[in-house]
Amino acid sequence: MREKIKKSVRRMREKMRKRRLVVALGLAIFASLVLTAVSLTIYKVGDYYRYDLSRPGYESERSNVVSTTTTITYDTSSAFSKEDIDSSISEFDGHTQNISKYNTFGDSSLSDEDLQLTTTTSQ
Amino acid sequence: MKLSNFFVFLCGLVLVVCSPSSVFAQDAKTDLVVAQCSQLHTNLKELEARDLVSRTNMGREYENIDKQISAFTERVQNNNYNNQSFLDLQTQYKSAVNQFRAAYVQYDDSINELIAIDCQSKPSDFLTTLDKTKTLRTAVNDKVTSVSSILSQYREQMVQLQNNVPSQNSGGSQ
Repeated sequence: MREKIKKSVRRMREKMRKRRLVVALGLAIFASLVLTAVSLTIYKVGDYYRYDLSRPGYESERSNVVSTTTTITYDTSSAFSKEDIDSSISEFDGHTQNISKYNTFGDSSLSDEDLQLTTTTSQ
Repeated sequence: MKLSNFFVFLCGLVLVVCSPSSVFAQDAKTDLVVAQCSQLHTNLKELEARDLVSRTNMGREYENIDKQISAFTERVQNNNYNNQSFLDLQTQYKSAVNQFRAAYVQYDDSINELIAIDCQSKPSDFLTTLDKTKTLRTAVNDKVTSVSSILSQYREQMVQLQNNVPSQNSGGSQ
């Protein structure tokens, strides 16, 4: 019995040696499938998909997302002047104005009036 | 005997007259939910998508602000000014943004739950969840207000610092 197992293991090894490229490709495909499965599970279980606007059906919403073009690097070491702080304040004001522009949570979208759940009784 | 009948009649009359009109209004609202169920679903799905765009844009802007104030606070320290108030506000800002994110997740969970309810067969469940969703949406807006309040305090600190810093023309190095 042991001999049989040893023989079959030897045969397998020989076959694998002969087809190294095929085995390597197979392993690579298997590894990528495992990694994809893990990442999709995290995406699904972690509810990340719900906040993903790149999903199908969100085409019109995607166009309303403001894209940030460049990553700004800030000077953190050189000496301050009034003008430096002035430009920082201007940039800061721009950001806070954008926040006010983007915020829709203060509107009345869920009110009875907007959802047309009001009963107008005419006397 | 007659007196007890009169008493029962009186109680009944009081109940009918004083019964809250909201009970009738609630019934009418339930009827409206059933009648407009599909339209309500469409409106809620559109609102959820709109709010998701808003959340995405605001999240990016909050990250931009975080980068700016982190760099500014560090620069204040590197210029040997007292940056404690900036640091405190920066910490408060990060905490408030995290609270905004958490509030949005709760609201989004609730609106998804609301969309999933079959409003034709369960209109009262729908109305209950709608009330909860309204409260959670208001909570998200409250968090936005908190963040804005911290940011305006940070701006005040920037202005105060500006008053203590020399102008470029008066010998301040760049």
